[in-house]
Amino acid sequence: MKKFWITLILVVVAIVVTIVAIPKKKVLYIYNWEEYIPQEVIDSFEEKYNCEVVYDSFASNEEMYAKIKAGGSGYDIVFPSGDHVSIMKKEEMLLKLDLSKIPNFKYLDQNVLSKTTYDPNHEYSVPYMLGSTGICVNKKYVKDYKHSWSIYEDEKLKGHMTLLDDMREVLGGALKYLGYSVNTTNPKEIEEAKELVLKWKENIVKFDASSYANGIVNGEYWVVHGYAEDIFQRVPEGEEDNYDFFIPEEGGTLWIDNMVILKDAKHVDLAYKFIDHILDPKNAAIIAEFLGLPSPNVEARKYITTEPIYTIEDLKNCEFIEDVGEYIDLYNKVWQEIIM
Amino acid sequence: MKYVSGYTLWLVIFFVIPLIIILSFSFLEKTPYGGVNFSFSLEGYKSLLTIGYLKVFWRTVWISIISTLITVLLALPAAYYIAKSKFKNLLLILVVIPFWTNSLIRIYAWIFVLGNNGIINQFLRFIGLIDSHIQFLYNPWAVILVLVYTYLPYAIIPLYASIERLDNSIFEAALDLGCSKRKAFFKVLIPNIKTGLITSIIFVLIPAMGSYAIPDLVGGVNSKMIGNEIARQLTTAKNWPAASAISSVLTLITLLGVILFVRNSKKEVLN
Amino acid sequence: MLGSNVEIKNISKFFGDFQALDNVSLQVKKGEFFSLLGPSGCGKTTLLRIIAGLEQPDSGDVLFDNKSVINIPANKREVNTIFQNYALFPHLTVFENVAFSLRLKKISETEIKERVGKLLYLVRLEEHKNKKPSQLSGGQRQRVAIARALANEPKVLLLDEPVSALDAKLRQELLVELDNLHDQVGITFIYVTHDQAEAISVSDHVAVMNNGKIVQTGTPYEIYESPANNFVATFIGETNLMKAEVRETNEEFVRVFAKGIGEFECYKDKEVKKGDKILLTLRPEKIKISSKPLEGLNSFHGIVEEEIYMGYQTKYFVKLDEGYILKIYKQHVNYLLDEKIIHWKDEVFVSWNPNDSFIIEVEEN
Repeated sequence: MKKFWITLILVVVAIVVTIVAIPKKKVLYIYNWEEYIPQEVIDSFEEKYNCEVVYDSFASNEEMYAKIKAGGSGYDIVFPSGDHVSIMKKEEMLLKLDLSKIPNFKYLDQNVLSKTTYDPNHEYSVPYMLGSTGICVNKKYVKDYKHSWSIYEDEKLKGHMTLLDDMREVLGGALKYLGYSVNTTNPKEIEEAKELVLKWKENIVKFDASSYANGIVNGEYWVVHGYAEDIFQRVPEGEEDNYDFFIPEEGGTLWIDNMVILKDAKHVDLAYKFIDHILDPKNAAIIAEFLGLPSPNVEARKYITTEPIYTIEDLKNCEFIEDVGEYIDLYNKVWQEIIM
Repeated sequence: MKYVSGYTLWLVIFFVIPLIIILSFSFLEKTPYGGVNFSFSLEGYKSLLTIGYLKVFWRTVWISIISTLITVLLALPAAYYIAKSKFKNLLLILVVIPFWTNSLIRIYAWIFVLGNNGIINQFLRFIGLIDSHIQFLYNPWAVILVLVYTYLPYAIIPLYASIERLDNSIFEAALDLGCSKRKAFFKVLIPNIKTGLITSIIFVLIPAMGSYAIPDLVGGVNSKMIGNEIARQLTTAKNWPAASAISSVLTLITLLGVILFVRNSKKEVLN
Repeated sequence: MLGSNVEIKNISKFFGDFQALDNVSLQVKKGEFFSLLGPSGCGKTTLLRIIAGLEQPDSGDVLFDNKSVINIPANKREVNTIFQNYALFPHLTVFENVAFSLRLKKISETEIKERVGKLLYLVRLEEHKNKKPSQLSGGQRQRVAIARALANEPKVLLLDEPVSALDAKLRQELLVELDNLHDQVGITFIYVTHDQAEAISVSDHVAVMNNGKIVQTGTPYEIYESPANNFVATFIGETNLMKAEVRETNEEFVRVFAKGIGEFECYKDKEVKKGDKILLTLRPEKIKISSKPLEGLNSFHGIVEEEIYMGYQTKYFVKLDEGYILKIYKQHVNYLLDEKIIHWKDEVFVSWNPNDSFIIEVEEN
């Protein structure tokens, strides 16, 4: 027993000495969507600045927001979507950016920069990627369909489809299908959207935001509502043609994910460097190819060889989800009626 | 004494204080983007007074009770068998082994087994019994199945402990005195393992009432439980008082249920 | 008589490779107090459990009143058991423990009260009827077990070492109580014990078991006085075992030579001839011991090696001149008025009657 204690003490001492002796690397804490930055981009950053990057992930803006709001999260950089940038800005959770510290900002597409209504002057956020939520069909099982939200009314597909477990995305799709704005504050329009979603609900398996991508790839689901990059990262090589990801012709929701630095970030310098690293055209190209999405970085497009799943052109009918303020209760109310 | 105060401290820090925070948040005013204003409000509770919540609460209760009943009914013979087996240590390890695997992975495993494109459906298609698939999952019964699967070890272990402690000769005495095996089970076994039964029922019922991941993953459009609703209020709806109010009501229901149940069974034991 | 006679026919039972019972047969008469005596692991409890129906034999038959009960399950046999640890139901009161079998029979509440009351009176536990077993002493629990087993009015009562968990004094008392009880209820008792003193003191007949077999059946007197073999002789009471060689024989007696003792005579209770090697048993209380020379055939001289004073008797270990150590128990009739008290290291003379030793094994020459 004595021997054991001596060994234990020696081991503890050894560990402590090692920890103290090694010069401490700076650590950058990132809170981001799952698998949203290719590892090689992170690796090159770590090498370049001799630091360590800790990458935690969230599954929804709401999850991210609740965690940060509760306080003490310890993250430096977070990747919220536009509506949540606006909320976090209002809640004074974000650091006001000094764009002079991000020289590569100049490569960003003016078209994209002009759409950031949630932060028009880029005082708090830098766009990371943009795209649209769409519908993906597994063509092995489904042959005959239209590129429209009406696919959810097809009873032949009953029990094979999912919608996102996301209030704004689902109601946004329904509103678009009905010809309204995804940011409407008109109770009547929202009520109509609810009725429509209730009809769709009859035909879907579930509202699913966490396992739909796996589900469509392993044949569990045939039609899913979600994010292209989520799905195509899981599709085995060579089988990409079996999956048809489309933006419904009626249009849908548009999103821009952004990089923001939290107000209570501890590694602000490193955070600026990271944002600049992401905007480096070569890195931006790697990211866009990895995700299969169009790049908002003009310079990066020169380095991109593969075709994105959809182009910025395809997004013409889509609309940003914006923070609707107090009116969100209208959405909450109908969504509750839908899912309960 | 040292242990008692340590335990009390642990309870206060990780149980009582969070509970008080939740309870107090439930009586505050919500702010539009999550968080609370420190002024008294019953809005959190008022928002619960809808048919929708009644439905979800009711669903949570019946799913939990049925799962608990099935779990305990399955655990009883299993615990009995283990307690009487020559290989009880090995069997106990087998009971505990699932805990070595992350519970989410074990829930996902059910999708691979029972999913629309899961092993069973593939097999049924292969032997030509069905053309498309049978939808086993995405309904309340799938939630019950996975709840039972997940919490079975929690029910087996306390039952095992109380059966193992029992002297085998009292069953023989019961047989000797004219009981059939079935009667001996009800007249001698059950009354003597009452504490084990109560413990396992509580061990299953309480986590079942608070389930979140299971209904989320294997439930369908009509299997949301109250745990999912708490999460939604906290995240999507950004209504912290409502989330706290639901949590408080859930805690209250669970607590009341447990107190009533334990008190009743104690009375019976004493009589 | 209220009891049944019990017959065991050619019972064998294996547990895996271990043979617990090897072709055991025996007969228990109606209403008698019958003991199964043997060391632990001899199969006596297994045999009892087979009679109770708690265990099935691999072969053989059990008959009550000449009818086979082998296919009747335990709960339907007219036999009840008192278990070694009593096996009282911890969740029930004394009253309910005793009433257990009656409640199964749908007997009216008044009758149950009356019958349980009688039984509790019989075992003197009326005032404890509302206690739980955990609130009772060992002796009280044992009496509850007795009352519970008798409540069913069995024809045969099986007792599995019922007093072994109690201390020595209580054991004696309860043994007497059991004996009285047997006289009162008049049913057949089959009593399992490893304690020869218990078996001998209360039984009408005793079956001595060893290694799954019955080695001897008889009255306590027969078992003690004329043990059938080495095992019985040593297991029942204490004895001196002597290896000897036959020198001469006549009609009634044999003259033998034993190394460490010398030549002496013994009763010819088995046919032997000159040159046979035999094993003799001689009970220690049968030997006379004196500081003066003794008359008689088998008389030897020795020195007291050990002296154990027991109160009612003294045990001596006497080393004979030739080296054999003889156990001798001397009863004290008038301790002080008897002849001179013999002590450690004293020279003594010992002698015994040839009729008191028995030949238990013969190895022919």
